[in-house]
Amino acid sequence: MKVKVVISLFGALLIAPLASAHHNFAAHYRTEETVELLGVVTEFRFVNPHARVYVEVLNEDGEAEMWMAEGDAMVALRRSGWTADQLTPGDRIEITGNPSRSGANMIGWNTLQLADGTDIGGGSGRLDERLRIMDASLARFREQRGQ
Amino acid sequence: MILSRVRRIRRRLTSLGVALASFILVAFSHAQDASVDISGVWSTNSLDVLDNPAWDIVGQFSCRCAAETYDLLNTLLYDSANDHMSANEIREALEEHTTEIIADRLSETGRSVGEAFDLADDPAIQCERFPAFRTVLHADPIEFEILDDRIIIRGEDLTVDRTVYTDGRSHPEGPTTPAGHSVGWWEGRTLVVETVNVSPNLVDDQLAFHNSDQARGVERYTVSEDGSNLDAELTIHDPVMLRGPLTIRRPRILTPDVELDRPPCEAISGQF
Repeated sequence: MKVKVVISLFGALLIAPLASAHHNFAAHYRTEETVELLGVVTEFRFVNPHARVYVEVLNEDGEAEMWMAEGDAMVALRRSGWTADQLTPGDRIEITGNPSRSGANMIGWNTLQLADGTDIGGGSGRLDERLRIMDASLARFREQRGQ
Repeated sequence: MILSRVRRIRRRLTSLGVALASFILVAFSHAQDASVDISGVWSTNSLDVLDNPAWDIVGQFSCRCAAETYDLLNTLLYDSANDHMSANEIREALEEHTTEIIADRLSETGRSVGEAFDLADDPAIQCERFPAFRTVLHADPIEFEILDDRIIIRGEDLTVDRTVYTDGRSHPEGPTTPAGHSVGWWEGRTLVVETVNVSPNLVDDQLAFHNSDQARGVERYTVSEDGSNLDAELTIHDPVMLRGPLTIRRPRILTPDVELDRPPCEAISGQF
């Protein structure tokens, strides 16, 4: 099992509007930075206000670390079909998100991929999922407007 | 003597006429269009209803934005010179525009209160319920229940259930509370809600500004002709925090299939 923590700076491009968030993620996370985690799920807590995934990660020194990733509002995820079984212990996942302000092993997740490469989303504000729909609508609108 | 009596009667009749005219004016201006039905659950453009056919393109791009920002949105959408912009670029332009409007509208006090506030101190993180204005601006679905003398507005998450009195009563002198005191009336297809006596609070964590205890909120909910859309806006008048009224607009659509969901809240610590 290959797991790693990669920290990179992406500027302000990944600041997400939290359309359904209970509170602003900038309260706990540095929204101008992005962290990538590869690890194994130890627990998925489908709770209000925000879903949480606990992940065991091997750091660059080969030591196991526990991380917590915080996602979108539980009620919003539930409406999109998510359940308490969305992730189960043992699932290998890859998460990108914003690191904590405090330095604790926490990230506000933006994307979440399963081992087979499936991106199940669920991150804070779910910006990528929204933009896919909005870009498609925008293209249709511009086409019809031009007719 | 007869002449003075006639004059007295005429004066009384004139007063009566003025009073009657005023009553009719108020009654009609506060009259509800009989075809309007605001009851039910109304959603913002959250991901689960973003592709609902009730949305037009402006609704899909709508945001918790200043009313003026919708002029910009229309320009970005309808002027083909902006067709190079992606959905994300439009979204960012709207956010930036609203941020500038709010910054410009804040008083010195409003600005200093905002700068001194740390988002980590947001009471909602510890599961404290939202105050009135934050409840109004929250993105989750809301439900209107119409009763004889009041309207109940229910929300989700940490919002408070609101009682809007529609029996013609006035606001009490106080005290201030997080939910404040709301009265409402109809102006044709528009439900108007006025809220005062709101204790000082964070108005919205995304827009990052606060209200004082002198704030007065006026919400306007206008139901579309076909009953599927609700144009919702909140204007805050606050002589302490703002230099002038600030209107935040966010349309909604009727979503009868959506049920309100309010699971228990589990507080989040900044330390893991």
